[in-house]
Amino acid sequence: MVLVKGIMMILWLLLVSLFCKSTQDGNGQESGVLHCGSQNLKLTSSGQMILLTWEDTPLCSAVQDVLIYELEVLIADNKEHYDEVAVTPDQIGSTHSWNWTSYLALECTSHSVRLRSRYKNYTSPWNQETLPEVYPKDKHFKVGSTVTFCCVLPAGVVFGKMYLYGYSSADMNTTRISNQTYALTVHLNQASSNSCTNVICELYPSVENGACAYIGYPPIVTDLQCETRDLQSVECHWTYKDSSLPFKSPTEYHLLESPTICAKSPETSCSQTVQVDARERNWTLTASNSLGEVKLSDTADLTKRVHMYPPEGVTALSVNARNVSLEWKWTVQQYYNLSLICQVNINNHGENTISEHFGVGLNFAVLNDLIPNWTYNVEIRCRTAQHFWKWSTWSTNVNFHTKGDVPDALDVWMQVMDNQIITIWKVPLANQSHGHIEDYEVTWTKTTERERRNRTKVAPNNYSLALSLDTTVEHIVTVTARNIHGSSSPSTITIPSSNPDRTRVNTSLIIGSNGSFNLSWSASPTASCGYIVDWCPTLGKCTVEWLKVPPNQTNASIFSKNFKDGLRYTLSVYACTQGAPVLLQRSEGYVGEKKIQDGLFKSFKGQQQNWDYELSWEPISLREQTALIQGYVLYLDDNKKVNFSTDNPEATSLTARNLKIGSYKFTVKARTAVGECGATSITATLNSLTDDLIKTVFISLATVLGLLSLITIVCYRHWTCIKETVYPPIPKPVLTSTGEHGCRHFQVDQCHYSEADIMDVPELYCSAGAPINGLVSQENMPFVFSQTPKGYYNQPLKKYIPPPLTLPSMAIPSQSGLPSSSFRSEFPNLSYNLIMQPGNQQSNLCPELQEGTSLERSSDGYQPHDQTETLTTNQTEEDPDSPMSCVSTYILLPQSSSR
Amino acid sequence: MQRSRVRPHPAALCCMSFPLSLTPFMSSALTYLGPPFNEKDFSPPRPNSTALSLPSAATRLELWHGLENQARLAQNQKAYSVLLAAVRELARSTLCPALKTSLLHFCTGLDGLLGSISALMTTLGYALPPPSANMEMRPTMNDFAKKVEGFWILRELQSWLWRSAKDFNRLKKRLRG
Repeated sequence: MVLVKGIMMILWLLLVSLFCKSTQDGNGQESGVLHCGSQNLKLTSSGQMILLTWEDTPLCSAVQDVLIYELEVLIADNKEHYDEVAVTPDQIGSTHSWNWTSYLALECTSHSVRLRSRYKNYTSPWNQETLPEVYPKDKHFKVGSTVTFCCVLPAGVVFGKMYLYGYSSADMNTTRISNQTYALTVHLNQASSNSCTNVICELYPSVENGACAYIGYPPIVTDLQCETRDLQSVECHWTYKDSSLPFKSPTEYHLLESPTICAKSPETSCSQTVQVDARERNWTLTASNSLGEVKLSDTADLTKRVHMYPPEGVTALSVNARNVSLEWKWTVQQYYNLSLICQVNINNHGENTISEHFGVGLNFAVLNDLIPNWTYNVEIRCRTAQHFWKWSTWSTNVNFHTKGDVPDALDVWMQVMDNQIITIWKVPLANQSHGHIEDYEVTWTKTTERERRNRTKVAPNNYSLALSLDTTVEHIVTVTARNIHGSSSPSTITIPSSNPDRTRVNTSLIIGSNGSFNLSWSASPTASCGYIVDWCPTLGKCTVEWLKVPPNQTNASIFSKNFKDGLRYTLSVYACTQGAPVLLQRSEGYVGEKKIQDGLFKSFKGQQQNWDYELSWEPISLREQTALIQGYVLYLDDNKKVNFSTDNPEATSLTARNLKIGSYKFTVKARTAVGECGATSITATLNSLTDDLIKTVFISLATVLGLLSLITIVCYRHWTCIKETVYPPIPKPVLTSTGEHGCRHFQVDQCHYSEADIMDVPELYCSAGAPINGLVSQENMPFVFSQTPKGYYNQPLKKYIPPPLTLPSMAIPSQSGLPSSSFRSEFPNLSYNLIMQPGNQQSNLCPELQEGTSLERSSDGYQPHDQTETLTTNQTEEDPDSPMSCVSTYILLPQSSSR
Repeated sequence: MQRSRVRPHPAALCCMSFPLSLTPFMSSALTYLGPPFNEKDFSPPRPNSTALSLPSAATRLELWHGLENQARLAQNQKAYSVLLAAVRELARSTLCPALKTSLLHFCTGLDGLLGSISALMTTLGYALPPPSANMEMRPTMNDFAKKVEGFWILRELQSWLWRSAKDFNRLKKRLRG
């Protein structure tokens, strides 16, 4: 055990000592230097030269002396060259390079370089790089040729594939030539685009190399054309098609077989000094590039092909108000001997006018009819007058400004408005004012008094003058404009007298199109100086606009920037005469119609007429009309068209006919060129005619009833008056009595009866049904008619109840129409009160008239109380078994005072 | 990071808003090089040529952020001076006139950027890095190798423009703060 422990201890000590040693070695400077070597080797080539670059490994930083790198070149794995590169300590850490030019073309076989470092006694292992290359490089090939490319592989690299971009595998064939060389044969059927075509050789691991192949065509040159510009040299032009070798191998051009290069692509012209004489010659151009050569020729007499240079130094001399003189020079002296045609392009604010000028060696031109105070821009080009070949290019532009002049005559018109004559003139344009307008002068006079002229000045920013003239006579108004150069020639207009007959013309309708009116009129023999068309919105105040038309023209297209759609315009055509203008025709219309807004129809209402319904509205004012109304259409519910329409634009009603009872929504629309519009609706119900009749009857009845009630109330309230008027008071009879009351003379109403007396008044008692037990059926309602002087109202009798009288027949005053139902009626009477009470209220309590039979039986049996009457019923006729038995007795009634 | 006491000239700060964009002609340049250069995943070996002897824009972000302003500006300055020479050479050797014009126009912008960086460094009191190697010393290259080099110049340029845009925005905030 102790032995084992001893061995373990020794091993541990050994391990520790080994570790310490290795640590010391690792940190030692000399050990690091020995591991110094190369890294990041890059081997490239240029022509037959190979170039190697490399870097030092990080451990090389410890080197304090010269470090040697040994290099060996291997050609086809055989040592061909040895070299050494010394690296001083200060160069350690930088990238080192070395090159060597092989005696063999690199395409011949593989070239490799190997490298190792040597420091003191330590030499690092070899580090080898082989030149991976694709051949041939940067060569030109004609489209259509078949070419073989080869790829040389470095050692230890596996071939992947070799190809040209844009070519299919059918056009390419790869073959293995040796372990390190592969070949690609390809039929070149497409030209390179942009730059060279890339030939790629893919290797593993992850090395790619390639070459550039320029694939294109020999020069393709056409359309050779030769001319002379200076009569001392020939200049040729041609067109050139891209050969896909534009700059790498530019096409070179030679003129007239000269060895000097005349031009290189992409140039398409060149010139060469020659003797220009009047004979035809062949002018030959040779074009060549790395892929081939072509020749073209053009036959021409250069004296007939003079393409001049443009005039130089064009200047404007002697600039006046309405003309200018231009001069220029020729850079080619021979031009002064040529017969020339020159064109001057006069640009007037974008409007071009060309004038032509002729002459030998022409170098000046005069321009006339210019606008005063106006800026012009001119340019000139020329050509030979004989044997036209080409115009020169335009010269540089020259500007000049003409001098000012008096303004042009104004365009004057008149407008009659509110008993005023407005003389109006158009604002002079810049090309009419010829300078700043300082003011306008207006003069006017009666045609009969021409020598007496009124005169006034108008500010330059005003273009009209309102005059209050006597409209019964003609006036002449003259307007002139004045600028710094003077006054314009006067513009005169004759204001016609306001004779209504003169202005009476029919107004026709006109339809505008494309924002304008195309107006035509009949020629007038009076229109000696043409026609004037003026226009204004039909409604409201406006500033009139006008157009003057020459005499031979009887139509005009009227356009104004002020035209608005939906606005009605009045256009008038006047004949321009030596005197006042004569109105020829007048038209109204819209330059563009707009839909009329809904709710067009004012006071829109309807009325039922039997089974028809008439809708009416106010006449539509022009102000409401944004389109020409051609008629009206009536719709019933849901726009279902009904044949109720009119073509009369003046109509103010439409009738829907033969309708049925029901509720309708009536919509009326105006018909215009832009469609139906201005919809206005109303909802109405059509009633039955019987309903109306009933309604009428009811109304009549109610009226009559009301009247009757009124009369009744009036009569009731003024009964006394009526009675006294109709029935004057009759003197009351004087009764002489010797009765127990001892009254000798007394009036009826002053005679008071005692209660007992009253009780003596016999009553008519009528019972029917079962009077015995006092029960009366509802149908046989008993009525009590009692004479009730002095407030006696058929009260139940308490003191004395006589035995009931049974009447075989009714002896009561009967009133027709007396209701059988229970009610109470009171009719005031000075002599008595008749109180009607349902019998059942008193049948058991008081003496009463019990009606045993129907009232018809007694309808004529009762007479008012003008006499004492005894009603006797034949007892024999009475059925003994009849429950009704009437006993008649006397009824004494006081004489009515009124009677 | 040490903050400079010197305030840069306003014009220099203004130029730090990054005006250059490679996008307009990047695709046309790659189209000009032709396939496979304009294919998405194509990445040929980066040549170790003088034209590409510039500081790599692929430094890890944390390392890059850890650098002083001066070091970062110096690297920007060096990178753009190398790239400017490379783009000029690329323009010179380009056969397509339109692309040549675009490249030369871009060189003008790149030159302005370089001037702004130099002005900023001078204002901040930093020493300008020495001028880069002369491009005329380059060995002759075949056209395919030039294409590969052009491809890498464009790629490096794009990376540097992205990095610089972020750098200058950060720097602007710091200096204004």
